[in-house]
Amino acid sequence: MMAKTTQGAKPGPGELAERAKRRRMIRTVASLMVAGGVTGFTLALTETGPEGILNATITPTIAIALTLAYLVACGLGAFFMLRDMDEHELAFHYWSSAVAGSAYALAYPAWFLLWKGRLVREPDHLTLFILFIAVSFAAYLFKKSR
Amino acid sequence: MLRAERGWSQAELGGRLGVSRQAVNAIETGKYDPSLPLAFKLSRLFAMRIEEIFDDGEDDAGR
Repeated sequence: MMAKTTQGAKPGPGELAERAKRRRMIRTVASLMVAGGVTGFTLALTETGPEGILNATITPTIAIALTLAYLVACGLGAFFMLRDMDEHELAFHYWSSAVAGSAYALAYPAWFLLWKGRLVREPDHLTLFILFIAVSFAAYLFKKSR
Repeated sequence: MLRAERGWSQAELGGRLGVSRQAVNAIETGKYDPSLPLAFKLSRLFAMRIEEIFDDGEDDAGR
């Protein structure tokens, strides 16, 4: 019932605009992935001391540089992504953020209370951060696949 | 279908509206309700009233 392609060989102005927008979005996401990779690689290269991301240390200069790089990448990434993101995609992100926020609001108090009872180790921020990101990503993929 | 009548693909309509092909597909299949600004854009693009483009499922006879 629905035509999938424009009738005629040449893409129309709307199709060209849609393609350009998609290309810009792919470029933004790829740039963010490269920035994340460089940050992670730098962190891994400059870590000293005991093993493990929570135990190893980096110099204050590297710490400030990586923090600035992260904040700038997030700021620019958000700007460029929001510029090219439509309301449909934005709705996916709102929904997945709400699900991830709910997971955090459930997980932290539950973990905290169990820790108070000496049943589990103390809640740690890195695990909770990873939980938030993982749930957000899973919720986004779930919504997107439907 | 209004889009098909004009020979437009979903990507073509999406580009003219400033949304993705996926958004057009979701609107056409009833999986996503567009915002009022987007509905007005559609209305202007097709030169039709919003209620002529969208069906809210309410029966007028019952009002």
